[in-house]
Amino acid sequence: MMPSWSMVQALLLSSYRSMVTRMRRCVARLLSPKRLLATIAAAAFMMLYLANGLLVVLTRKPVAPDELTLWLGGGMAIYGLFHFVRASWQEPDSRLGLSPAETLWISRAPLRQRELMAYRMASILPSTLVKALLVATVLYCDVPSLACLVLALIMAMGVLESLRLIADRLAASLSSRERTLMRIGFSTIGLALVMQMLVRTLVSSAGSSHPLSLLTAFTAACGETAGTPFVQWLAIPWWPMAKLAIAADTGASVFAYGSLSILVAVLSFVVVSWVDEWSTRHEMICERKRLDSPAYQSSRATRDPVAYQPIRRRKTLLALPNLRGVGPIMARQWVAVVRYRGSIAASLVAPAVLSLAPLVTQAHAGLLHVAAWLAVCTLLLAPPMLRIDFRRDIDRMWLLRSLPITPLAMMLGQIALPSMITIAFQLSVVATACFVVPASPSTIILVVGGLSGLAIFSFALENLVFLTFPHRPKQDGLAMMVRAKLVFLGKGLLLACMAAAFIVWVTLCANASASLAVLVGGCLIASWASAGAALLLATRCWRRFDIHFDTPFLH
Amino acid sequence: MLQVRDLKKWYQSTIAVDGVSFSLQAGTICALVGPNGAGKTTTMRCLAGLVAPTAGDLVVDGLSVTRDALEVRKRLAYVPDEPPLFDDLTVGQHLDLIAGLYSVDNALAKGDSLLIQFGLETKANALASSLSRGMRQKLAICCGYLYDPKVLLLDEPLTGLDPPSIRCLLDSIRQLATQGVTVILSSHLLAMIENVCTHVLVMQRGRVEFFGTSDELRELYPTARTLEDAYFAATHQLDPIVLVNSPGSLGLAMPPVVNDSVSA
Repeated sequence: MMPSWSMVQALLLSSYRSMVTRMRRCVARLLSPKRLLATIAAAAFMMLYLANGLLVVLTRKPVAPDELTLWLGGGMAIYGLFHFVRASWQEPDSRLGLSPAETLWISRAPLRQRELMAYRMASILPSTLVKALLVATVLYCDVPSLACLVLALIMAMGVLESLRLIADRLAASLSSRERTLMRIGFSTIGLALVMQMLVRTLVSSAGSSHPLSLLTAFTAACGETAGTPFVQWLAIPWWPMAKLAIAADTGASVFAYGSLSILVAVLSFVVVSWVDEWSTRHEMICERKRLDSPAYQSSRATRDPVAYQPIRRRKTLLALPNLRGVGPIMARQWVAVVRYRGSIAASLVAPAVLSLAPLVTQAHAGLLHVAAWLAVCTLLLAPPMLRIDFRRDIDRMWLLRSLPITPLAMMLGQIALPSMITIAFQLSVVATACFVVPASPSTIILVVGGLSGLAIFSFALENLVFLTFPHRPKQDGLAMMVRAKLVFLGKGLLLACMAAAFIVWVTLCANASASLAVLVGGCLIASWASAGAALLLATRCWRRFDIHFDTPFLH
Repeated sequence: MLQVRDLKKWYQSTIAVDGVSFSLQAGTICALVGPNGAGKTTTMRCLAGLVAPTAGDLVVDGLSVTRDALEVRKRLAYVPDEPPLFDDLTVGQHLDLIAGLYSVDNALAKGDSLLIQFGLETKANALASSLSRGMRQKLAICCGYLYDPKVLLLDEPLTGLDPPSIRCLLDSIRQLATQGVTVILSSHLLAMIENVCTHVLVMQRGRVEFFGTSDELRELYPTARTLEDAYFAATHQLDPIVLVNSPGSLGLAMPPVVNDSVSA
């Protein structure tokens, strides 16, 4: 039975209208007077980024077709594996990524499961198309036919999206024991691949700790890992797409690989439906097992409900001094930290290894080398890893606004705990480094004082950017991709400016024969002044945040 | 029209609904009442097909909710408490979407008539995100009414509505019942729904404490003058005002009655 035309029409029409409304609202928000300056700055930066990207693409040497095939397939497989690792750790979501409104009105409508899946896949098509076009722009000089490349990328990304849905749905249906097994299994594979990449990076960087050479070595290591037999086995579903990408415009190979690619894409879509049906059944089996539990059986016999025994309150909010409201906000954040302590601790391992790597790879590396990498991790990696900021409360902005605390106290409460965690991380890495390479007290003061200021700056900046261009925690799509790239590169640029300012200051102090105290004091003042300025700016953004206008729609 | 047999639903380590059974015939209006956490919303969600029951049979118009999900959805409308809406669609576009999904004939006229009935005609082009709590509720009710369901499940529909809207909603429920629609109405505003309902289902701790007609409820608790009094008696909660007015006459020691095969 095919879905009736009116259903398809209604879904397509509402999706189109929804897209138009979102675009209009997005433009209105970007052009609103209060964020016009930020928008202009972001647009200018984006132009620079695009121009640079085009220049790089136009001047780089083409990659050999065989290598491209390996990288495309292997890259997709690694990304797919990442989805499984992520799904095994995150909160279960059995709604196939549908919003609450879609769950109520569309998944409850008389649509069959595969029609619902088709709707889900169709809703991600526009962003997949744009992503494929962007990747095609980067890769077009490597292939004989742009059309084949675009087609291959669209289908490869479609398969990847199917895999993401499969991972999410599967993880949501498992019992806690099965989820633990899934975590162990996929995390072990993921960790092994990351270790491979790191070892390859260290070997090919040949002892250099220069960021650019490390980045080049890491990119090459990713490519090499993607080309390994194990990853290529995982990449079998993308093999026809990878072959299609490097095929010429005409010929039997295009037809053969094209047909195979379409078949795989359709098959992946069917597999999602199967997995969804299996997951629903599996969830039910797990639930029904509870009916046989002795506790439930005895409660049936005595008519004494098992789940309604009076329970003594076990969990209380951390008792912190009020501090004009900062304390309770921190205590609320602490709950999130305790809940995600495992993933927070795990996410800090890679930055720690990265920061301490110069001590192993370079003969004359000192504390400043470690500090440089710590600065990179603090500004670029810590906020997205900890994710303790306003984005957790995007649906509770009214509640936050109604609290009897000043905007400054609110901002301090939001950034205090993540900053403290980051500072504790910095201190432990610095202590380890000092154990290996002794450093002078002034260097330690400079490093510790400067980096702790940077930690506060980093989280204030993260909140500032979020309040200026807010989004939802699990939002994806093109806008999010562009946003993430711009924020990452913007922070990278900021870091480069900071390094340049530091060098200029050191040179000035050396030329003027200034004392060590002046050099260190100047650096610390600059670091903490930047932190203070970012904090005040973020506070201003919170004060001016218009909850009705600025809160993003549910996807 | 609607049969629920031994419905059970587990959430993690909690059993939210534990062996609920009742049946309703066409044209009945059943008040689903009980304290918070009694399992009312879960029962409704199971009936609506939004949550799969752990055990039990749910039958709507002779069709199994689990096996004939698609057909049941066409016959049943569910309006939850605080209904989620598409923030980026207007009021009118919501009705268009539902009309398309349920293949509603003459949808435009029907939709306009519902908007007028619930006082939303001036909001037809407003985004759902700009609506007040009560208006969102009314829009969800309009969406539920649009495809002429045979069974209507309304979870706390009166919350957030102004007095004229409450009257309009209750009148519309009565009217639908006369046309043969079976309605389950969950609400804590007992005084407002007692004159509308033909049946009462009292739930507590996931189980049925009473199910029957309003008259049977009055017979069971003769001193209870209102649905609220009977509710307190059925859920074994002592209402001080009733106790003062009718000392020792509530029959609190009476065993709860579960009548799962009452016909209208």
